[in-house]
Amino acid sequence: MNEQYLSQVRVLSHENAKEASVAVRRQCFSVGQAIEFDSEAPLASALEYVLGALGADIVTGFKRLADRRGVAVDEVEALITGRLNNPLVYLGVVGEKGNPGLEHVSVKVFVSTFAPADTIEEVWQEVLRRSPLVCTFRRAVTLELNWKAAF
Amino acid sequence: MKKPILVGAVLYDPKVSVIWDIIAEYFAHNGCPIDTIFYTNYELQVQALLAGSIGIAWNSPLAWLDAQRQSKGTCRAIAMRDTDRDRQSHFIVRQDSEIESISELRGKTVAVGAKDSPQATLIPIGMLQAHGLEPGRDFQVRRFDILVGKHGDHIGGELEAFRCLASGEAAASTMLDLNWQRWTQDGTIDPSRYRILASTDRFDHCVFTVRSDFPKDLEQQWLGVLFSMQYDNPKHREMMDMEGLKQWMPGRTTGFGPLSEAVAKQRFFEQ
Amino acid sequence: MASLPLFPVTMVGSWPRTPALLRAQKQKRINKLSVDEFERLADAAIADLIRVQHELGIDIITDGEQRRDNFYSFVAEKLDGVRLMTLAEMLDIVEDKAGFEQILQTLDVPAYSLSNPTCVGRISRRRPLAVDELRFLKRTSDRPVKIPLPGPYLLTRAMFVAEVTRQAYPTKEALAEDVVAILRAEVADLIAEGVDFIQLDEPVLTEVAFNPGKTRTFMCASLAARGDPSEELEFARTLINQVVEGMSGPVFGVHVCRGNWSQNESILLEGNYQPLASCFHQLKIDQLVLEYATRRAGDLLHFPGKSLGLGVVNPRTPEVESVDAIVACVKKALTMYAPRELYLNPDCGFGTFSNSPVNQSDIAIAKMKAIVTASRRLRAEYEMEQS
Repeated sequence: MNEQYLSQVRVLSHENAKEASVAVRRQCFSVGQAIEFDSEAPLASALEYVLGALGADIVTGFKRLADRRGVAVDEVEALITGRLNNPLVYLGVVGEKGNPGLEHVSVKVFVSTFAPADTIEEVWQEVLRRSPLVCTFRRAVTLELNWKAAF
Repeated sequence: MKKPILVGAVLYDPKVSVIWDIIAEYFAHNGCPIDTIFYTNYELQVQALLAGSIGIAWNSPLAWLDAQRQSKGTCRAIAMRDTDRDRQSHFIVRQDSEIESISELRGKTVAVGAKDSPQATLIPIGMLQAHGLEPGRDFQVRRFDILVGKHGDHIGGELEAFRCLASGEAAASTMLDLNWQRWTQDGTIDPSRYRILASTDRFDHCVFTVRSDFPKDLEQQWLGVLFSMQYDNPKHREMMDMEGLKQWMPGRTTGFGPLSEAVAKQRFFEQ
Repeated sequence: MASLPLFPVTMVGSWPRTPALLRAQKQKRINKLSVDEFERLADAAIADLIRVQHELGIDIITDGEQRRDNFYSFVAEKLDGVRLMTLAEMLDIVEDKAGFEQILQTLDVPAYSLSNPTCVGRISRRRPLAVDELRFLKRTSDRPVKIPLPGPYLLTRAMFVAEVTRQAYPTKEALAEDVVAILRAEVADLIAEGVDFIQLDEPVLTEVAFNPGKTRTFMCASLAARGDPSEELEFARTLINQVVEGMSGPVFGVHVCRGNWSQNESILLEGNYQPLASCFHQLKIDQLVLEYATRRAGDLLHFPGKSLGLGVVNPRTPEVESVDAIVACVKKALTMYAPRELYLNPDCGFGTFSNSPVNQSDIAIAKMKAIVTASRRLRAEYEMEQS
């Protein structure tokens, strides 16, 4: 394996079993447990981080590419929705079938722009082609990707 | 590290696991660690209790009867919520209905909850039977089998049954008294358009159940922690609100009469 | 107000914006278009809409809220101490971010497109809220005119964002005092300019009654903490009555709907007005503008001493209600209300949130035409009876 293509992070446990710290370069951030059902939980779950990462990949990729091509885009925002096969398996519920993994992820991207739709579509296709996480997710789950103009 | 007592609970929604986490933290903090084992239905939970896979089961009243049936009456009911005692179910009709008594449901359709719901199906049908009305023969049953296996947990079928009444497809529907109270207050049911026709005898609901050989000292320790929850303690209140009670009570078995009779008459466990 | 015919027809408030006007709104927002240029475009759009209302025979005219991005956030342009913040900006500062998700997903809009007037300092009126709207209406139409204003409870809940508002007001009750003062000054100015009908919009009341467990409202990006429903309703009642206390001249109405943010009826609030009955009875106003055109509204209730702005068409559906159906709806109401006590209007506006209107102009026109036709028919029947 060519080492320049490796990406690594170090993850540390806490006394609080629902938290882990991720250290990378000069950053350290906390992640919660795999799936979080408590609406008051203070930390993003590992699953939410994964979905957020996919969205961030697309949103930053879109803005960057639009800027470089001189396409005026005011805002880009993504809503990522992941559907698990059966989260009850994660909770160890006896009698449940299936697996706790993602089976479907939908990404809806809103773009605020006065640029023509076909220009945005070109940027969009290029972003998807070059996105590491889109390419990874595509191989693992059913990935639905859409954009729409929204003021 | 002390070995945790295994407590079984049936999960109808993953969010319910959050309440159990909070309870587990409370027990750990008070020196009596527990671990919750979740089951997808009460049948599996009762099996697990009787096999010794769990020490304590948070049983529905139907699961209690099932555990007693299978253990030849040797299980113990050790605790319940204040809200699990002395419940009633109501038969609801439209305000302008001509039906004034239970007997007048003869020839009519009654909308009920899931087939295994004590409060929305078994006990109300039992009441009709006590009035000489047999399902299928003397009245039609329109059943809403929501979350079968979970014994009517989380309103299983009651709202659907009410909607059946509201749409005119049934002459009456059944629901737990607490649900009637909530829905007439939050606008789900317009109390000026519907009324209670009749109510069942009072009955008890969920109960923590143990086998006869569950160690008494462990039981006492566990109950000690459970009963130490106090509603007027601000630190406990939110937890107890989520659990749906103001006070934990000792378990009792005197309130399972209506369900027991209904189950026998309807041969529920023989199906 | 000059004597109205029986069953007068009016709109509740908003009308869909043209693409050009939406674009102009966005450009104004990001300082790519001056306020004056925007106002000129809005004037033209409103003049068009007034012409449509005249042609249809609508009795009480509105400007379709064309100058506003939505029915309440526009106040940020008129008040000191209030900043229009997008939900995207608010997501950065507020603790409970999940609370916004439901609004955004229900409306199917991005956080950057939804704005909330957020109190960031002591509030005061820099410019009148709607007097300019009224003046234009008065110049352009000789018919009675209605001005909708965000109600005091709605404004207080929307503007009180604890994380930033507490630097100026310790509680939402403290903020409410200044909100009431501002609205009273506005109402006085509108009366002086000859307004015929002032409608206070308080859609949040249904959310208080029907969604007691939720902190966030669907109607607006409010962040005020959830209170006990009966306490909240009492608070709302007090504020509304304080605004109208001692004011006379126009008809004062309060509009309470069950949400108008989506064409998907299944996600809108459901339940009759019974939980709000006590509050409604105690409001010292002339009219309740209520929605009754959907099954979700439940049965009609009677509020003695107040006229009813009866919602007779669903603003969100593509199907245009038949005149017969509207007449039947009114006749049902006539079992409880005298003819003189009924005004006819849609359940709510057609473009409550400018960037996600619930209908298209041509369908809105058709629906209003059906209401007017129904009104004429009823007028003919009941004016004969009354004479």
